[in-house]
Amino acid sequence: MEQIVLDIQPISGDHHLEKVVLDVPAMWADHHVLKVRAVLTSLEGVQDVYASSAWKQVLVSFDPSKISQAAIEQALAEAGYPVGAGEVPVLVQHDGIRRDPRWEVLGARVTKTNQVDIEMSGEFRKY
Amino acid sequence: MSRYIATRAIRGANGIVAEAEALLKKAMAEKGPKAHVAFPNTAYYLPVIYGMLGIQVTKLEDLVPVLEHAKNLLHPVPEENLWTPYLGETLDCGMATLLAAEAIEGIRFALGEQPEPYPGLRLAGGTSFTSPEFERAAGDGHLNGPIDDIQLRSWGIQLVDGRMPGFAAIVGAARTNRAAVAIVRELQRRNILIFLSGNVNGRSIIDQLHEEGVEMGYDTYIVPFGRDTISAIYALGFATRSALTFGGMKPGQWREILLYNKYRVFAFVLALGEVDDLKYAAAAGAISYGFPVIADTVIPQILPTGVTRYEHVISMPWNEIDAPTDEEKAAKLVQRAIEVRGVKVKITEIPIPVPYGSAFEGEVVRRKDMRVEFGGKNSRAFEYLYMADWDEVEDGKIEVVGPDFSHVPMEGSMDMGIVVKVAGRKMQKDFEPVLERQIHYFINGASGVQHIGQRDIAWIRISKAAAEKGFTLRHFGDILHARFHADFGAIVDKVQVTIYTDPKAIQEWLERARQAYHERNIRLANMTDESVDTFYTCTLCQSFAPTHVCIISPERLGLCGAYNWLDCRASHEINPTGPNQPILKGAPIDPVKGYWPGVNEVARKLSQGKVQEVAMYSIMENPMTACGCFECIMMIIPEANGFMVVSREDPSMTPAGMTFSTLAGMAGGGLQTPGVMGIGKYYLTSKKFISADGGFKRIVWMSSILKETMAEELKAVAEREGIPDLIDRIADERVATTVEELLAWLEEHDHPALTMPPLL
Repeated sequence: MEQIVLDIQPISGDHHLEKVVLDVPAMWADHHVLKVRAVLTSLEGVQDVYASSAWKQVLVSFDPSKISQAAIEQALAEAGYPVGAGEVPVLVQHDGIRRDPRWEVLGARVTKTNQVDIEMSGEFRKY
Repeated sequence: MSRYIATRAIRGANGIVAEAEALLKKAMAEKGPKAHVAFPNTAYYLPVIYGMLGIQVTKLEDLVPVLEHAKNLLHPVPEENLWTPYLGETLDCGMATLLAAEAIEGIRFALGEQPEPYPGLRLAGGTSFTSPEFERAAGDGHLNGPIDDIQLRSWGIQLVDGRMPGFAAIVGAARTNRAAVAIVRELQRRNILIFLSGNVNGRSIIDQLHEEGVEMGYDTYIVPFGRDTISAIYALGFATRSALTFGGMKPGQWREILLYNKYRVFAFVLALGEVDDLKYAAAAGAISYGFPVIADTVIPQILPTGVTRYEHVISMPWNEIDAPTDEEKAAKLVQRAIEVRGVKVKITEIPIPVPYGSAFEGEVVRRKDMRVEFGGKNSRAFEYLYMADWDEVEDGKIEVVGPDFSHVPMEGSMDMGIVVKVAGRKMQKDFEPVLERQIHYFINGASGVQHIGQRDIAWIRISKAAAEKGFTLRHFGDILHARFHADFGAIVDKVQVTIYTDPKAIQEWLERARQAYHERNIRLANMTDESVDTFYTCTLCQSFAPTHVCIISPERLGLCGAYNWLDCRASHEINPTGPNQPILKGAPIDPVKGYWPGVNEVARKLSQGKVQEVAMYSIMENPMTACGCFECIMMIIPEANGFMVVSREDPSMTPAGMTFSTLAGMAGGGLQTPGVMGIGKYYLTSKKFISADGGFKRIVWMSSILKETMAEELKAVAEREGIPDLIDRIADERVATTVEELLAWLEEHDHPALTMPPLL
């Protein structure tokens, strides 16, 4: 499901335009979309932008005679959204021993099976 | 639980907490850790944080432990190849998301970035009366930001009496502008409060509605919070405050607050457009409150398989909804949403050419948008409802006597009278004014029609848009016929409506109506607590405030101001098992303080034992409890030997050292606090107004808005008390906001409370 690539057609029908889909992993929520769009739509030569925080991709239609893909990527990087780099910041990592940080807070747990359950199960099953 | 959803929600939560931490660090470096943090016009600080953790955030540094707590709730993203129970982890992360999102909005306020600027937007109803600091130059608008306490309370009564069955938090953008309007209209038609936030590809449903000319703001029940998902936190803040305001919950009682919302606040989330990590994370937070999420795109679902109470995540792709038009698709989407959440909605089909619902009640028709008006400065309008004999009333007959408004120039005015004749086996003469007052609400429910005032000072406007859609005078009759049958069918069997525009007929009927108004005034004025043997309960608000019960007598109306003794009697006739039950008061135990055995017994029973006794005429001893919907709050000012009365509309500081919002926390939630009481504003004019404590002469301070809006009534009270200039001797926020200033004013103006027997 994560591998879906944007195939949205730009609104403009100008065949001189180039269309590029950029992976922007740092754009993972819609407040990032607002920033990314603000950056891209202010660039001269950029005709159309479709920014998807769900797929972390941007589709940019631009006039190559006015702006290059490299310049677009540079503008994105300067705004904190480098193409192909960055990720959703993850504060809690697997440490291989403790999966749930709440366990530490909750302290030691003791699991003891109720005698009634034992009696009601297996060959002692009554119900 | 879908691993896909869990992964994305947990990842989104991790991300937003990291962002909140980074933003807080930056803000503290720029503004200093002591920089002020607050949402405007709320006494509940940052309400989700306050409700869940009990932390009062007033400075940036107060957010440090909040984010530490949020970090503690986070979990690692589920691994690719490992199955694990992750419902708990996801819900934990949802809550961490809410804490982080509210922290971000708090920081944004500290940085001056909220409410979000939105050039050209004017909010219907505005936020200026409570947040004047955010009203910038004309045309330089802003989105609403958080809902203020005053609005929350004024919506309270509608939320509990079913006029407003719940709220929908819409996040994202609809498929098309037309779909956006269709969804919102469908929700409005069902009277569901609408909160807007988020965007898809930079485009928000707020933009879509703005482009389509849909009025947004408190008045139309459509509240645009902000253009990103983070601002959806204001909806959860609203829900949290509902529990604190009406439910009597205390800050930090997170479990009770979540359960209160699950069982009493009927809300759901509509996710329009693609769903990103943060939207999943925020939805996980909403699920903790018991609010399900319905998406109009293809996403994994969480359906009831023995674990969940509701279907929690529903995918209902827009293009797969089996309906030919956007309007019908919207109807099906909304229908599914309310079924999933179990929202109780009563819709009356009204045969008129414009949308209809109480969401349109507050809609304002401005002069430039107006086709024609009746009443106001340039013409007169009246409305009159009376009971007639069975054979005199022809049910469903609607007549227009005189010309319609087609000949009136654009934006012009004309005279009009609405006369409603009703008959019914259970109808009584005393119900006439109760039913007549409903004309205001019923007519206001039509989109593009504004109704202000009542009796012979009614003022009605029809908008150009409504007129273009074919709305005519006859439709007033259609509305009234349908609604009286739907809402008052138990007492009304036949309804006939005549609209008069013919000058001669207007004159005749106006005189007849005025005679009836006069007779009603006398009849009501003669009605006293002693003249009846029955009072009424009002437990409408128990859906929100489980231990509160209003006791309504002829001389003391409900504290919300919406229900008086006659209303309760009519309500009991309509619904004999409903919230307004008769109380046989019995022989008085103490007629001065207002103790009756019947009242005490009912109070004990209906408050689940929390309230043992109620003194009807005292604030100092066992005062009546309040839910949270009160129009005014009274509080003792011991130094002045009297009481102050602060109005819900008054945001200023009072001599008690607290604003209305802060005081409301002491008066609401079914608590009995001697010296503090919530009241309806017309109780001020009653002869029985705190009569055991000295009556109206004890009022030493009063919000100026009350003095202005009730000038005539208060003048009559002052004369009755034998001090004609008493109102001028009462201080208000313009002259005193501290006890010292108040005492100086009272001495200077020789206020009678200073020489009355001591209260304490």
